[in-house]
Amino acid sequence: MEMLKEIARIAKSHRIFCQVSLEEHMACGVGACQGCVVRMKKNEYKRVCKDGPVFNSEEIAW
Amino acid sequence: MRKVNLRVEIAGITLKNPVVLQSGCFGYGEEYRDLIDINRVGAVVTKTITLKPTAGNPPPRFVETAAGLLNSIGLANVGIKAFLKEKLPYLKKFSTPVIVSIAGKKKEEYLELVQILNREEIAGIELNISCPNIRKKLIVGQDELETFHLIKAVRRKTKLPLLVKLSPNVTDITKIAKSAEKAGANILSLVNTFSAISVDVETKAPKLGGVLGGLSGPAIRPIALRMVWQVRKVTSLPIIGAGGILSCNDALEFIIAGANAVGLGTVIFINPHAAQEIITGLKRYLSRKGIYDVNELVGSLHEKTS
Repeated sequence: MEMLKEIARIAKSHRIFCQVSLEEHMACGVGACQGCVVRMKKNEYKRVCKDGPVFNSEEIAW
Repeated sequence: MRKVNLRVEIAGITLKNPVVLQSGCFGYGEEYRDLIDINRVGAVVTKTITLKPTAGNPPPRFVETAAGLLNSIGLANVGIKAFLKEKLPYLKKFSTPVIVSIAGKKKEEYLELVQILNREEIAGIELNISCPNIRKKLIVGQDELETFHLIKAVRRKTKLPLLVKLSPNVTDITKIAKSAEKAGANILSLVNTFSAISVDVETKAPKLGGVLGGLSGPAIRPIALRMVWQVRKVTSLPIIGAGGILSCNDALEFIIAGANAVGLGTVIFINPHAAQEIITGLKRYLSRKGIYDVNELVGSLHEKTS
C-alpha cells in the first residue's frame, strides 16, 4: 500500500493518469461481508473484491 | 434411507429444515446467487439494517486468529430505504422465510424501523442488541433492564415474530434471556460474536481499524454451545443456536444441547456449500439413529445426575 501510495503521488506530480490494483484481507470474496473495504475521498468505503480491485489512484483517500 | 422430518416450526415460522443463514455473513443474499440456493435452507437473516446508511468502521476489518475470525465491520449497510427498494425484493423471490435484522443507536430508531417493516411481507424481525463493534460503553444486550425495556417497546409496535440476538459478552446470559422472554421476544438467537482484540507486535498497533472486534468461528464453538445449553434450561422459547458451526456434527451438538435450529455464519466464508452438507448430514444421522423427527432431538442431551 505504501509503495502504491508513492507511485500515485509521483504520477499525480507528473500529471499521469494512474490506476492501482489493491489487496485487502477478504472473507467472502463475493461482495457480501463488507470486510475488504478501502476508504475513498468522498468519505465512503469501496469493496476491493467487487468494486475493485483496480481503482483510479486519485479516488483513494491515501 | 428412511424418510425423516426436518421441518421445524418456531414462533409460527415454518422452516423446511433447521439450518438458518445468520446475519452478516450472508450479506443481502444476492451476492451468493451462484453459490447458495436460498430455497433449500430453513431461513435467512439479513445483514443488520439501520435507519440511515452506515459506512462502517475503518479498515482493516478482518483478522484471522487461531480457529477464528475477528471482525470489525461496524454494521456497514445501505440503510432501510435502499434495503427495501434494492435488496429485499431479491430475497422475497424464494419460498424461504426472510428475517430482517435491525439495529438502532437508540430505542426510537428501533421503533421507527419496526414500523416501516410492519408494512413488508417478511417472516420476522431480529433485534440485534449485541453488535460488539459499535463504540458504546454498554450495549443494550449486556443489561437486563435495557434489554427488557427495548423489547417491550418494540413488542407494542409489531405483531411480527420477534427474534432477539443475544450477546455472549455478559456474566450470565440466562438473565438476559429471561429478560427478553418476559418482554415478549418470540425466538432467542445466540450467540453474537465475542468482543476481542489482536495486536501487531511490529507496529504495536491493534490489527483492526476499529481496535476491538467480534470473534467468531470454531474457536468460540464450545462456549457458544455452553450458553445455548444454559439458556435452554431457563426458557421454553425456541432457540436458534450459533457459534462456529462448520459441520453436521457441530450442528447436532447445538440441537442436542437445546437449539431448535442452528445458525451458520463464518462457515459461509470457508465453505458456501456448508448448509446443504449439514442438511444432508442431518437426514443421514436421524435415519441412522432411527429418529423420525428432528424436533425429537432438541434438548435430548443425556445428563448424568450425581
